[in-house]
Parts: sequence; structure tokens; C-alpha cells
Amino acid sequence: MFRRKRKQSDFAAEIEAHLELETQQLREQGLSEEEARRAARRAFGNLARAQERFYESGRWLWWDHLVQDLRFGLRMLRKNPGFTAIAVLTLALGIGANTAVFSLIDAVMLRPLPVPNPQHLVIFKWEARQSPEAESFYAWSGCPSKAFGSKKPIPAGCSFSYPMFEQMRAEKNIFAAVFAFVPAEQLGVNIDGNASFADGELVSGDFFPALGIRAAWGRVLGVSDEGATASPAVVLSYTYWKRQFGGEPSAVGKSIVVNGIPFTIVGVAPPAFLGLDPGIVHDMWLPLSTEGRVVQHVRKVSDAASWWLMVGARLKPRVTIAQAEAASQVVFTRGVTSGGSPLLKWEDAPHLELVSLAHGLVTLQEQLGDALFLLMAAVGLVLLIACANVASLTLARAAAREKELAMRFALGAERWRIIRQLLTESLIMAVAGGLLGIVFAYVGASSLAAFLSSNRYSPLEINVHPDWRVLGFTMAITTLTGILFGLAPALRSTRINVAPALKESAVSPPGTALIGRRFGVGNVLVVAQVALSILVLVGASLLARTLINLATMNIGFDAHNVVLLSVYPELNGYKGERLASLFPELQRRLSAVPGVTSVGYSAVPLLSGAYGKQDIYFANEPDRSPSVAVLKVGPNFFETLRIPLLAGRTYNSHDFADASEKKTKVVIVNQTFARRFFGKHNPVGQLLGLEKGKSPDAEIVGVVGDAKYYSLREGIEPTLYFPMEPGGGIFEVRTASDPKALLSSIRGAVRSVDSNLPIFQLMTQTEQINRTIFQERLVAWLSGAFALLALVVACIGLYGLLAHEVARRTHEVGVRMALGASPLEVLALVLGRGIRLVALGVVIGIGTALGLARYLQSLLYGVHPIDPLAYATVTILLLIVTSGACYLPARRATKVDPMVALRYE
Amino acid sequence: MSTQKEKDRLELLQGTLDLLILRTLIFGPQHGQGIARAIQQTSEDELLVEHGALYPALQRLEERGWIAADWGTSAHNRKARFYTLTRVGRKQLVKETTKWRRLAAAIGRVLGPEVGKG
Repeated sequence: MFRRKRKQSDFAAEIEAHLELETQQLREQGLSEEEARRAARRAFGNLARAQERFYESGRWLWWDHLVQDLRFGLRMLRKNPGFTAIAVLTLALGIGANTAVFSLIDAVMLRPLPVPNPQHLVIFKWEARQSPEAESFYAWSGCPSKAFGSKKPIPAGCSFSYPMFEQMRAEKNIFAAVFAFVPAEQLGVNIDGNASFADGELVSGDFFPALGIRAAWGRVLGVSDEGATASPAVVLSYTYWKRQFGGEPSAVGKSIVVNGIPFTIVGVAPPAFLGLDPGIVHDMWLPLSTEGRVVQHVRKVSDAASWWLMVGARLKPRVTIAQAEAASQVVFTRGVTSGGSPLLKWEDAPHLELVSLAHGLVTLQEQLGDALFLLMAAVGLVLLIACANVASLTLARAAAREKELAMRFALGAERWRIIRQLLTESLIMAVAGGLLGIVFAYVGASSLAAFLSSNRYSPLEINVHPDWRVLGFTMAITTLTGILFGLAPALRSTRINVAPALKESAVSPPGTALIGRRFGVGNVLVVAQVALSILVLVGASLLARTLINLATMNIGFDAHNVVLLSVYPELNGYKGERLASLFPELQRRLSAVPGVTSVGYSAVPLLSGAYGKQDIYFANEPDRSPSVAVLKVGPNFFETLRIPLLAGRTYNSHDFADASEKKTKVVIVNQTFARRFFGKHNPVGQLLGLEKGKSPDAEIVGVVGDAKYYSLREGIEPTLYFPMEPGGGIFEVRTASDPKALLSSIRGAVRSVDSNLPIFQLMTQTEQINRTIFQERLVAWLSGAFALLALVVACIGLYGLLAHEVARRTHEVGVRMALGASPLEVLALVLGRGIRLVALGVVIGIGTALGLARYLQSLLYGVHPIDPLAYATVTILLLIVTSGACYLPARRATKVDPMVALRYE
Repeated sequence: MSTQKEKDRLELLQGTLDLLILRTLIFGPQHGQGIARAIQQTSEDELLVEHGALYPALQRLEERGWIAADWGTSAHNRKARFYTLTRVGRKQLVKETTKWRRLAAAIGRVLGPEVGKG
């Protein structure tokens, strides 16, 4: 089958030889030269047919046709540069937007970990009807589920005790290796005297070997680093090494101080490996054995009741997840249900799952999944609109090409062959759009990733470089689009009645009405575009309303011109008296910065997502223990944030002096607290219990106005403000004017107190609030942009359809005007036709939107999914814009000179 | 005239041309015109083979690898493309022949003994 294809000339030579041989033989039988030649020809039959059949049987015929189609298609597209440009651009925007969102989805949830054989990796996850009676318990984010995206409402988690990890490690028949890891939270790092913060992870010695990761420089951590006597070793991530050491190989072997403990850099991880949680960056990996020395919260390593470790494993080859699960299940159940005080009871059905870790942990997926899927739906609609748009443009153009097609039919082209030709043209445009779209997508996805990253405390590293999945996706949607927008026009325009089409001039025969059957498909496409645009617009307007509601709501404090500044002096070895004096000193220096009007501090900033809760008790109702929000605040907190004092007093220096000795006896409550628990009575002077079983002894000394604490979306909760002992917290610095201008002098003030004190975070309160609603901002802005895109594209489609039709009906308009129709009537005729289509599209679109809007419910705030105002705004906007698109061609129709139009034939 | 004679000839049944070509080539390499003539002669002029129709069949057989082709010189010192039966083609011929014989015999049985003419 791989022999070279025979040349046509070779075949021709064979036929010639045949005819000559036959002629010769016939002459030998006695025929004359002339007679013999004729008879040979006759015996041979149809010569041309034989040639043709030889040609057609060629194995590469389809290739010849494809090349023909491509050449012709490119020529046709070059002949209409305007049409081609609009179509390609429309498709590029549609395909680009889809690819951009898809590459984020790919980066966040579809890409496997960059380790050998990731399919053999699993993470341990427990489930039970009750939470375990653990002494301390960490619920780490990113714990994956077996079923995609499913969240069971029963207690479950990925944290285990160290003894459980050891027991699993002993199961050498199933697991090639078992490893444990735990986020180290914020680490204060000192490199050659420069203090900074880093994100780290504490890992067991098996971590790197089990994952199969080799160091880019030096070595990775191994089992030898696990011993209590081993000298502390650290492996840096590639990006951290580049950033902090400029990619110097000599960094390996250097010593750095992490949270006050000297560590030796033993190696640098490979550039592809950023950690087990896609997008979340770790700057360094430390041995799990150094945990007790490094991390502030001391977890009881040997305690089976302290669940704080994430545990993963690499399965032995040929061991299935189900087998491994069954075996480790036994170990887990025995561990948690036995002993003096079992952590879980048999009847709570404690259960161990091994979830595949092939795609890593799912922190970002949990946070962004909903938003990304919503955006995917929005860009999907945009692409559909783009398809409908290019289809109607193609259809309009196909009508102009009717004569050409009719000619080709008349010359004997098969319908299929012409459809194929037209589809090839569509696919050329789609591929051009796809290629351009990939460029758009790369830019779009990078800026999206940057936006996501800028809204987190620690930057994300979302790798949006297109991989085969993204390119495959783009190719698939490109092909699909090409067929989708190409097929309907191709089928429609090849249903030609050849004779009249050939006879006809460029204008339509008189008698076909302005709303002709010819544009049946075109009408449908315009209506579809309008309807789909309405869908996207309604979504965008609901999300925009949500964002406006969140941004303009009364939050109870003045967030403008406030800078948040956080330091963790404990990480630099501050304690005791030195720590106690640091915060007042910082407060004093910051207040002295010119332009700063007031400085306060608190344990966590308001509206940051951080939050504390506590049960309280009342003297007269010992059984009632409502849970309220709590926040520790320093001096000047209420004044700086302009939270009004409604009754009583704020804290004085005595209260803070007492606070540092942990015998707080005074509290301030918010208005909701006062109203909820004391009704119309004055709460000032009343006593609260803060510990179970003790008589209430904390006196309410003041009532302040309600302020949003946990999140913008939550209502105001009853809140207790405690005086805060000096220590890790965040300063609120109020400035007289734009705080951005003062950031460097604020830094300077901190440095003047202690130049080694790293500033963990410096941002404005407004930025902080924006971070908490970044998902809303993301979807509102993007869906707004996509809605605008959809509207523009739909208008182009409408304009194209009407303009083309007006051009076709010049003759008819001329006749009408010659018979006395006024320009206004002609205008109304064309305009009316456009508006009718738009109206139909609006009705269908609104109907669909009413049905679908409830799926947005979880993302909305302060606006009902069926908000009449949103729907009305969208409808009016669409009507205005589309009227504009209709008006232009309609006006051209009124400019028709009847004489010219009639003579034109 | 010869036209009268041609009308009396039998049209080839679908698919039988391949078999006839293979059978003809069993006597040695032959060019297209020779094959056409041979079929005509061995069938005692009963079969009508349009010479032109021979070539798509030859090409098909060549593609399947049942026959091979090469340019050579004919008896009359004229260059022509000669076809040879390959080993696969020979096997195929045996198979096809058996099949055809069985078919012919079966149809013969169904049709019964020849009825007297007239």
C-alpha cells in the first residue's frame, strides 16, 4: 500500500500501447490502417472515462481536493478582506475567551502533578458520622474528594495524628512509601541579616523520595533529616531561590535563620514542582522533625488525639486504590476505636478513604471552582453568539455567491462537493480565528491569573502555559465552531434552483416580499444572537448589582484612608517585656508620621476573612450559652476606624495593663449584641460569663456601633471586643489624605524602631476589603466584559443581515418609492423588520434567563435572581443598541434613488 | 456487421472480470491488450469485454497485490506494461475459482436440466 502512486503519464502510455497493439493485431487480420485504428478505439470503449476512473482511484484524491478547496477558499477569503477580518476577529474573541478560561480550569484542576507516575499517589481522608474527640484538630484546606466536586455534609478531613502516620508507614506490603506534610504557615526568614516572610511546608523524610522528585541543585530532604539529632536542613523552591539568591548555585550550603532557628540550605527543588496544591506556592520545605522548634503552635507529636498531619502515600505497583484502602481501613479503624479513650465510636462508622492525589490538593478548586464554571458558561454563550454571527455573515455572503454556486452546479459539481468547499472556507476562518484566539487566550489567562494572585496574601503561581489539553480543547472548539457556523449556510445555499439563479441578475425577482423565505435561517440566527446576548447581559447585570451592593453597603466603619500594617515580632524573638513595649512604641512612632491622624491595632483586621468566636454565659440563664463574635483590640481602635461609641466608655490604659496579665474583666459590645441580649435595657454595667461554670464577672463598659467583621455578605453578629495584650496583630493607620503616598514613610517608622522587623503586610483597608470580594469582582467584571462583547457581536450580526438585505432589495425599494412611498415609510419598513427580530430574541432570551437565573443565586447579594430592574435595564439597553444597528442600513435604504434603482437592471 | 455480433455476446457478471484476469495470467505475464484478447478468445467470443473496463480492474488487483506490473517489450517489439500473477494472486485464483465453480454448480442445480429449445 506504500508503493508510489502511478503517474498519470505512465497510465496514458499504457493506454497508448494498448491501442497500438490492438491496431497492429487488427491490421494483421486484414483491416486497413484507418479501419483498424477505429475498431481498436471502439473495442476500448470510453477513453476519457477510463482516464477519469484512473484519476479518481488514486489514493490521494481527497488530498488533491483538499488542496483545491484550501486554495480556492483562501482566494475567496482574500477577495472579501472586510468580511474575513470581521469573521476571524469575532471567532478569535470567542475562541480566545473560551481557551483563556479553560486554561485556568486546566491549571487549577485538570493538570496532573509534575511527578513520575502521579496516578499511584493517594492521600488519606477520614469520614465519620461524628467528629473525633481529638484534643486539637486542624482542618486543612484542599482536601480532595473521590467524586468530582462533591461535598458530603458529614465530618471528614485530611488530618491525622503522628502515631497514625507511623502505623500507616508500617504497612509496607501496600505502600511503596508513606509521607506526611503540614503547612508551616508564616515563617520569618533571615537571610544575611535581611528579614522577610516565607511560606513553607514541613515534610517527613519520605516526602521527596515518595513523590520521585530530584533536586535541581544539591539534594532533597531524605529520611536522614528526620532524626531528632540531624542538623536542620531546608530545601528551597526554585522560584524562591531565584528571587532571594538570584539563582546562585552557591546558595546550597548556606545557612539561613527560620523563625530563629539556623537551617542549612541543602538543595533546590526542580522548577516544575511548586508543591502538592496546584497554584499555591511554597517557598521552602523543612523537615517535619523541626516542627516543635519552628512553629509557634506546638502540636503534640506523640499524641494520638492531636490530628494535624496530612498523610499521603505512593502505592506499590499493581496495588489498586481499592485494595490499599481496604487494608489501611483496618489499621485506621483499630487505631481510632481502641485504647482507653477511643476517639471515635464504632457506631459512628469511622471510615478511611484513599483519594487519588494525581492532580494534587484542591484548595484553589474549592475557592475558584464555582466562579470558573460560571465564566466557562458565559464564554460558551459568547462563542455560540460568535458562531451565529459568523454563520449569518456567511449566509449573507453565500446569497451573493449564488450565481457562482449555480454555475458550478450547472458544470456538474456534486452537492456534497460544494458543501465541502464551503465548509473548508469556514474551517479556514475558524482555524485563523483559533490561532489568533490562542494569542488572546494566553494574554487573557495570564492577566486573569495575575488578578487572582494579587488578591491573596501569598502570591499564586498559576501556570497558564498552554499544554496539550488546552490546545486539544482549542482545536476541538475551533473545529466545532467551523462546522457549526459553516454547515447551516452551506446546506442552505446549496439548495439552489440552478436555472433561475443563473438567469437572474444581482437583484431578487420582483414579488418576493422584503421578509422573504430566503433569509429564514438568517432570521433564526439573529434571533438566537439576541436571545443569547440577553442571557449573558442579565447574568452580568445581576452580578454587577451584587458588586455595587457590596461596595456601597454601610459597613459601620470608615474604611477610606486606612492603611493596614502587620508585623509578627514573635518570629524575631520578641517576648515578655520587650514584646509588651514594642506595640506602644510602634504606635507612637507611626502616629508621629506626618499625614497620619490616628493609629490603632487589633488582633486581626476587620473584613479580612479572619474571625474569632466564643461562647458567653449569663448569670440568670446558666443553660444558655450563645456563641458570639470576638475581637481583641488595642488602644485607639474605635477612634481610628471611626466606630461610634453609643454608650459607656472605650478602653483606658488600665484595661490594657490588666489585659497583659490575662485577667480581663471589662468588655465592649456592639449594638446588635446589646439589642439581642438586653433589649431595651442599658447593657453598660451588666456582667457576662466568659468561662463555663464560673459566675459571670466580665463587666460591659461600653456599647459601640455595629461594624462588619467577618465578611461583607454576612449580617452583623453580636460582637464582643476585648482589650488586647500587646503582641502579634495588625495596625490600623488612618491618614489625612491618600494613604498610598505615605506607605514608604510608614515603612520607615517601623524600621526606625527595629530594622530587622519584617513587615508582613502593608495594604489599605479598601484593598483588604476588595480581596474578600475578589470572586464577586472577578465574575462581575468578566461577565460584564463578555456581555459587552456579546452585545457588540450581536449588533454586527444584525447590521450585517439588514445591510445585506437592503442592498439586495434596492430594486424593490426603488419601486416602492417610485410608487409614492415616503423615505419615512421605507425607514419604518427596514427598521420594523429589524426590531421585530430583536423583540422576538428579547422575549426568548428573557424567558430563558428567568429559568436559568436561579443558578446564580449563590453568587448574588442583595438582588433577587428575578430582579425586574435588571431585566428591564438589559432589555432597554439592548433595544437602544440594536436600533442603532438597524438604523444605519435603514437610512441607506431611504437614500435609494428610484431612477437609479429601476434602471439598474 | 460486427455490431450485430457484439450484441449477442454476454455481459460480464459483476466481479467476474477479476477472476478472468487472474486466470489469464496463469499462463505467464501479459499486457492489457493481450489479456483482453485472451479472454475474448478463450471464451470463444462469447464474453464481451470492453477493453477500457479492464484497466480499473487491473489497477485494483495491482493495489491488492494479487498481480504485479512492469514495463517490458511485446512480441511485436512494442513497449507495453506487463502484468504477472503474484503468489498471493495465485492463491486468490484458486479460492475464487472454487467459489465460482460451486456457485455455478448450485445455480445449475436450481435451474434444473436444460429444457429443449423452442
